[in-house]
Amino acid sequence: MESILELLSLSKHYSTHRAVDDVAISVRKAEFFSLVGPSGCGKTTTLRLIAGFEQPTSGEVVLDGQPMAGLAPHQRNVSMVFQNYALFPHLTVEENVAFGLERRPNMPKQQIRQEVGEALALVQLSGKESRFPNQLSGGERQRVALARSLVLRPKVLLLDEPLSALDAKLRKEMRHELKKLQRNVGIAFLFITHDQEEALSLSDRVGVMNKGKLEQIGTPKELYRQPKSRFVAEFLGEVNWLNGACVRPEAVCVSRGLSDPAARATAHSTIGIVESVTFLGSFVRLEAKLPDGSYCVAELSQQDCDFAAGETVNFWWQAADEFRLSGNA
Amino acid sequence: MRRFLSVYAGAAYLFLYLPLAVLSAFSFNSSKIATWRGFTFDWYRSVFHNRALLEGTVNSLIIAFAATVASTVIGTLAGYALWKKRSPWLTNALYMSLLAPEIVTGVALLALFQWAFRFGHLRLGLHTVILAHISFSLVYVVIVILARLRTFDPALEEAASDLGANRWQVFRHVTIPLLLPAILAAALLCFTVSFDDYVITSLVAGVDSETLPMMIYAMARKGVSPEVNALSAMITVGLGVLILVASRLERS
Amino acid sequence: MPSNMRLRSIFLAPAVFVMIALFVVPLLITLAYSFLTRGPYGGVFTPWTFENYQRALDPLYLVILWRSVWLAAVSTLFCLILAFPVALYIARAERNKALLLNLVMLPFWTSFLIRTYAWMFLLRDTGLVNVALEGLHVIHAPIPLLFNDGAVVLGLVYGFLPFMVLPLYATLEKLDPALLDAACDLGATPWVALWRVIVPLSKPGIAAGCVLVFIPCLGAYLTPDLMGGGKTVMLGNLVQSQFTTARDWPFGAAISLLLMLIVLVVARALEKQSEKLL
Repeated sequence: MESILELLSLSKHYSTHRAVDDVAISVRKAEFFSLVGPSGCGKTTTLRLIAGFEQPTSGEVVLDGQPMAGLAPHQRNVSMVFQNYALFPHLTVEENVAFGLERRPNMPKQQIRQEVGEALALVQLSGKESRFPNQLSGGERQRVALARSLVLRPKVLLLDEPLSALDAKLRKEMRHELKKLQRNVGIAFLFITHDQEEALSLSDRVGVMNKGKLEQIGTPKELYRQPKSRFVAEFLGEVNWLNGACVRPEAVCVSRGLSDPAARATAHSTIGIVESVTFLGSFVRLEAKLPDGSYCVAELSQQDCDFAAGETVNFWWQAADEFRLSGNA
Repeated sequence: MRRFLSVYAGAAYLFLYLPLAVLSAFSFNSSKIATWRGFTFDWYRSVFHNRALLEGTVNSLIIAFAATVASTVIGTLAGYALWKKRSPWLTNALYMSLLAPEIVTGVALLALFQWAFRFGHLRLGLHTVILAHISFSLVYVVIVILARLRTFDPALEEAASDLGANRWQVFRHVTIPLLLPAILAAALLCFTVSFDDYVITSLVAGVDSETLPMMIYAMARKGVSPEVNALSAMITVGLGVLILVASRLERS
Repeated sequence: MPSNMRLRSIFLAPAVFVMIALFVVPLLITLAYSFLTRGPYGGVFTPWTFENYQRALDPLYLVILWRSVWLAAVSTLFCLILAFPVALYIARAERNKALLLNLVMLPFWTSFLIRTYAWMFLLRDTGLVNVALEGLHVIHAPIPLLFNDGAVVLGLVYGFLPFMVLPLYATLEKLDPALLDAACDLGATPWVALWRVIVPLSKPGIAAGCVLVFIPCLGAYLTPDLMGGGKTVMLGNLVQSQFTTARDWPFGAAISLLLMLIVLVVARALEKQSEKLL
């Protein structure tokens, strides 16, 4: 698959710290790629380097084979959806969406109107052309921002935590719509978020960043099942540290005795005292304290769980479910 | 304590407005002295027939207009540039021009003009007053513009740039339209400050460029004149309206 | 980016030019003049001399300096006392804060000259106050309310009251009302709460207000001239007279620079404690 955007050893250093440190990413055409990581990990800075609002200290941004060095934001064929949408308050929806097209020389008004109409239809906002941003809801404003960027047919669409300003229910809805939209327009989306669930559910591939460095890139499944570092493992979900190995709660099995042959005392089992059993609807969460003082969390289905607090139980798991990791979190 | 404060504040507001109110009221008094004799528009009529006063008003308006246009343009550009990146030198200079007593600025400008006139056959006149007014009103414009820019979302300019607008287009299509209320407010402020100025103007004005405040001052020194009352009432109301409009604009 | 820098320089250039040509250079010229000698018919000539500054230290002029400082200080104090309750009232108001504040500022933005004149109208021997008092037979002859130091202080306080209210309001508005409630809850009377809680916490506003009032008062010209009838000579009047009637520009230049110096020193001293405007 061809790549549409390449970041080559991209770095941005400030006097106090390294915001982006030797990041290398290759985004493929029509791919939904997420960059995820905790606040301050450098994902926003990376986005700004691609858009052209910051200049890299070293490394390159290459868009569709063309190096972006020295090009101002308005000369780059990428478009950004800002976190608070940055809709122009003094312009109507139609004027906002038309803004980029109007900057292009020799574009007939008729054509602009048509393209604006198509873009608004794409995000399901037809009919709201003459409204002002302050008359729209949060979700509607976001769609205007998307239309405004997409109407320019950028090679890559950059999205800076676009869902974080929305309430929880709306977020889930918009995730769905965003994914559909991306499939529809066939443009590569580079999506940044601090919410790992969002990243995993939306993306074709995900890059995990931490303190300016790119820890790992892969499909959601790869990252979740085969994390290469402790940080990635812990960032994408809960983990247990049992007998020096890293195991996901859903891979941990619990039983009272060792009657099950697979539960014989092996390097892949341990004992603990149950501290709490919490019913969470679709599954049960069991927390126990291990002899060495650490904790173990297991996720079980209802039928498998009839344990009570205070009981001593056995935990066991498959070798295949262990992660071999490098580095510290 | 609540009641004490309300009563006290009421008295304070009265203190602030009473002299002007009384002055305006007595501008309709048909007697020249402070006892009420009857209602009349005579003094207003005589103001409008006073050729010298009208000339002074025209001078004041010309100066205020010219200084306002110049200061507003220069100050807006400077305010914008300072918002993007600080310049301690310019900020300090502006701050000092705000602090400097009018008499100090006035004599300094007079000294400048007299020294500069050696190099050409120039005299004091409207042009020197206009330059002086630009000098002291610039800081007001910068203050108003910077205050507005503090609440301006930088992402708006970035978005415009991202969508394909070059620097000038961003400025023209996004920044200026959104700054317009503040620019107008600054201009109105500039106008009032310039129109009312006495100290600096009196030092750098030429013989044939007397302004309205200079004339009022001369009349006030000579004694109470009901024409001054009428003039004062008109100016107060006029400037008051301008300021109200300016503060409305600043808030929108 | 280089184009950013260029644009910014272009935008700053006119203002920088104005400040240099119409503020800094004039002050430098004044500085030069202060070291020159006056000519017999006015104007400035060499030789260079310190004489003007030495003369400024003459008791005759030190009296003027002292009077200026004293009157400015008294006016500032009265302003503070007068303005504090007003600022507190507005800060505690439940609605219309902006309106109340604007109403305080509005008189300031109309003509200073006219406002001073308005007091002259009220306080003259034939002014409203005297006429009213005589009419009520409280007095038999007009009291000289105008043309003295008291009138000057009144004029200054009236002129700059809004400048004290604004910074006081800004500080008081940020005070947590719970602090006052806590003080009262612990047994303090409103008076005690005012002095031991509110006032100490409003120091930044007080300092800012004092700077904003003291400085213009120090350099006042119109008020002592009109309200004091020329009998109250402050530094501003002294400078003005040197540049007009007395035609002693070098001396006037020296005094005006000394005035500027005092202003800067005061501003610097109180700046640390106050909130900046720019």
